[in-house]
This record gives sequence, structure tokens and C-alpha cells, in this order.
Amino acid sequence: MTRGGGPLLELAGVDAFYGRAQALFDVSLTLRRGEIVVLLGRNGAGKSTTFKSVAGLVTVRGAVRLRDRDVAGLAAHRVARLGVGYVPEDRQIFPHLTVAENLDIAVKPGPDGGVHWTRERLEEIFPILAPLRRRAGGALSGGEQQLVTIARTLMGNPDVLLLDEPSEGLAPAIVKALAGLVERLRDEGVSILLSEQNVRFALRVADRAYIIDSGHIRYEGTVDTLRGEPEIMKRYLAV
Amino acid sequence: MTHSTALRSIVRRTEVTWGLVAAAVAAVLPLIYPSTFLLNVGPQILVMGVFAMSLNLMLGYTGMVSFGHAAYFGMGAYTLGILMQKTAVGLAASLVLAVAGAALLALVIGFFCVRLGTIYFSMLTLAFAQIVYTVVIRATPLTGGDQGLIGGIPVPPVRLGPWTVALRSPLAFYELTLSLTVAAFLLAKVLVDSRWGLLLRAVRDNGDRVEFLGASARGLRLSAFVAAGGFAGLAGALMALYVGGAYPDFVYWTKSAEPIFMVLIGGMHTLLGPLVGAAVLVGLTAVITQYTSLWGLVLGAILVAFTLFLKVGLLDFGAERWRSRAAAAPGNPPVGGVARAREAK
Repeated sequence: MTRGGGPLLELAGVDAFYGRAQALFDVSLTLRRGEIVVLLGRNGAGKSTTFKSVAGLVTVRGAVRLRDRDVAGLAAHRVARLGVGYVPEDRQIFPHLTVAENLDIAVKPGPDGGVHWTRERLEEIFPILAPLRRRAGGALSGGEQQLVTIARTLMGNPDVLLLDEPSEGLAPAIVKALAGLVERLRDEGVSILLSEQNVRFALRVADRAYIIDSGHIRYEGTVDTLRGEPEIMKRYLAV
Repeated sequence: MTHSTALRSIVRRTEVTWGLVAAAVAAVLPLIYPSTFLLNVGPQILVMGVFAMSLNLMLGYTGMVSFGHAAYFGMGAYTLGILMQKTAVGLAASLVLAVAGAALLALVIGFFCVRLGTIYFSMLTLAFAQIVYTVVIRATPLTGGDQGLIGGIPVPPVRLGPWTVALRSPLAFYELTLSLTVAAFLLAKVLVDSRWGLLLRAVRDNGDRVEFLGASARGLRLSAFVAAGGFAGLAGALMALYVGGAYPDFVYWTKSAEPIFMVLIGGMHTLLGPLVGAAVLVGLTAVITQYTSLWGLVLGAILVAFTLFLKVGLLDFGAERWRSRAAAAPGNPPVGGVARAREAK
């Protein structure tokens, strides 16, 4: 299923660099409002670098447009203020703040001034959060930390949610719950750019998929089409 | 540094209560027991407590180790001293200007320092403080150079409604210092319990993560630097009033070390901890110097003992013991999972 509307987020001909080393080559992709797009690829293929290009964490050449505004080269906090919510792959929870503090610290209206997400709404969608309110972030399990980090990012009412390998290192039961959560967020109208190595998880939740390999986009299409391309899956994803 | 969320949540609820109870006792004590020792040492403890508390906004709450905090203490002292000695500016306005001057100096110096992290930040704060020290020494017409602002600071009586209070009276000065310390503590408490305070603690954990929330880690560090500078300026101004002058020692690098020791002794997870540390260090110094000229040796041994055996500040230690007892009580749910947090680290 492909959701409608013009691109909310668009990367056009993006090259990314770590110092003088180039990590992305002419990467182009789009995310429309209300859509879940997955970026698939092996370890080191360039998924996280693509996310960092959007989040303002690496040097880029090319255009990164958010609602038609070029955000390439802006500092990370300015990109966040414009409506990009970034959940990095290493679950960047604040270990010495409680779960409630981790959420409260992120409160801000969205770029349109609206407040869609509150702690109460998030505790309704993430029922696990309420009993953990007073627990230290660093005392949570990996899966709990992942959920808190996603919830914390939503507290900033972002237009776009970047989820970098959310299922990495989680037990299968947690991954299943996480997939249900991502689907719930889609139903709430959240636009998500997701990166994954877990193809089953990704194909379950996403509308469209890109495959990245060695910093180049090798494939673009709906997940239904990708399911019918076993050669591509095998070549780039070893599935 | 081991950090305890549960510890903090317990302390936060009771810190203001304990602070106000201690302040009430401190206010009444000299009325019941008008000891010269208390009236001499009390203001020193309070002033140095505010100084150490100001440093803790950076050290404990934001994770920035400044080796040059004396610059703002000295700025407050010299601003008040110069204004009251050489102009007709009144006490209240001088205090406000001393705080503003120290905060402004912190803004200028902090603008450069917060761009660096870890030891480079610390060394730059030290370097700037030494520049300030050199300026103080060289600007003799304004600061008195090596001699400092000698000749005393004229403090006119203060009118409080129907009463006229002579601040030259040790008791009146003690109560004034105590009132301003309580005011500074309550203001700092409001600040650290606000979202700004939460963001400072998040910066201490990881500045990069804070950026993803739409907040500038550098801006937050700078704001903590300026707030700490302002509070240090208040402490310096009060010290200038207490000793009746301002001296280059106030700006020297060894002065920057004192609040660090106080924070380490009292604890860095609260605002009261540094005040307790100041009471221990200043009180012990005052007592030990009565008995031996080797007071530095005795104090050094005490500091070594603290570091080796207690490993955390006094209030942090006490609060953690209290938390353990509360958690062990039957029917009480676990409040924070500190042990798991430590394991997770």
C-alpha cells in the first residue's frame, strides 16, 4: 500500500562524508506523509549514514528537503526543531533520568505548533511505560529502552520519525511487539523512515522499501513488489 | 561517577524541607547561643556554601569541571567593593550589579569554554581565570593591585520597615548572609527542578542525545556556566562585605579548588551537598587551626579518607543509605533500580 501526498522528506543526490571518506553516493529517496518507508541493507551498507544525513550529523552534499525546505548542513538541534525525530540505533536513553523524566525532557510542540503526543497518550499506546515511570533509564531492558526512546522522540511531536534499526538486539517476542507498535503509529498518521536488517520485520510494517548497498541505492519499490524479487533480496540482503 | 536516580528523587522531595529546617535552626542558633566563633565562622560557611553550590550547577548537574570558578567569585567581590567604596551606589544595587557583572563575565568566558569538552574545557576555564587574576593585579588604580581593595567597604545601615539594622553587627551580617543563602538555594532549586535542569542533567549524560530533542547542548552548557557565574558573583560580593574588601586571593587559582573540595565532600547530586561540604571544610579548618599550624596536613588526611572510604559525598551517602532502608521496608515497591542501573553501565 502506498500512501498519498507530496514528499514530506526528500533526499536528492545526497553524498555524505566522514572527514574525507565518502560514505553515500548520490542517494535519493522520498517519504510521503503518513507513509512508512524502510531502508534495507547489510551492515555497513550506509543505512545509518543516510539517517545521519537527515539528522544533521554528517557532512553532506546534495539536497535534504523537509516539507520543501532544504535542511542539509543544519545543526542537529535545528533539524530536530523543524520536525525530525531521530531514534538512533544505540537507543540513546538518558540512563540517569527516570522514564518519566526521559519523556518530560522532550516535550515540545511540533513544527506546526500542534501537540499531538502527550505522556498520557503515549502511556495509552505504550502500556509498558506507566509502571516504569520512576525507573531509572539505565535500569531498563534493551526492549524497554527502545520503547522509551521512541516514546521520548514522539513527545517532541515530530513530522518525521527516523527509526534506525529499532529491532536490533531485541528478543523475537519484543520485535513482534515493536512491529505492532510501529503499525499503531502508522495508524496514528506518523510518517516513518525505518532502517532494518530484519527483513521480515521491515516487510511487515513498511509501505515502500529502498535497498542500499555500499552507499548506493540499488532498489526502490513497494514491499509487495520486493517480495516478488527473490534475486534482489538474495543479492543485497542475503535472504 | 555513580549516579542514582532513586537517590535523587528521594532527595528532591525532601531537600527543600531539610534546607529550610536547617536554615531555621541556623537563624535561631546565634540568638540562643551568641558565640563569637559561630558569628565569625557562620558567614564564611554560608558564603563558601553558595560558592560551592554555584559550582555544582556545572560540576554535578551539567558534568562540567571548571578549574577557574574563582574568576566569577572575584568579579562579584571586586564589583561590589569598587561600587561601594568608590561610588554612591547602595548595597542592594551593588549586590545586583555584582551578580550581573559576574554573570556577564561568565557569558564572555563561557562562550569560548563550552566549545570544548573534558580536560580542555577545564584547562581553558583555568587559563581565563588566570587572565582575570592578572588583570586584577595590573589594574591597580581600580582594584588596588597586589594590595586589593583595602580601607574597608562602607556599609550604611539598612532600613527594614520601622527598624534600622547596622550590618557591621556580626549578628545582623550573619542573618543577612543566611537570608541571601536561603534565597539563592531556593532559586537554584527552582532552576534545577525545571525542564532546564532536566536538560542540564541530560547534557551531563550525553550532549549529542540532547541535540535530537531540539535543544542546543552548547547553549545549555553556556546557560549553566552563566547561572553558576551569577551565583558565584553573589558569594564573592558577600565575602567582600564580610572581610571589608576584595583581594587578589579571591581570583587566584587555589580559590577555584575550594568549591571543588566542598562539592566532593558534601555530595554533587544535590544543592545542599555543597553547603554541607562548605560547613565541613570551613568548620574543620576553623577548629583545626586553633590547635595546630599543620592544619593543611590534617585536612589533607580527611580528604584522602573521604576519597578512599566514603567514595561519595556525605549527603549522597546518607541519601543512598536512606533509600536502601526505604526499599528494604516491607510492602515498599522498588523505587528506582539503582543496582540495575549500575550494572547497565
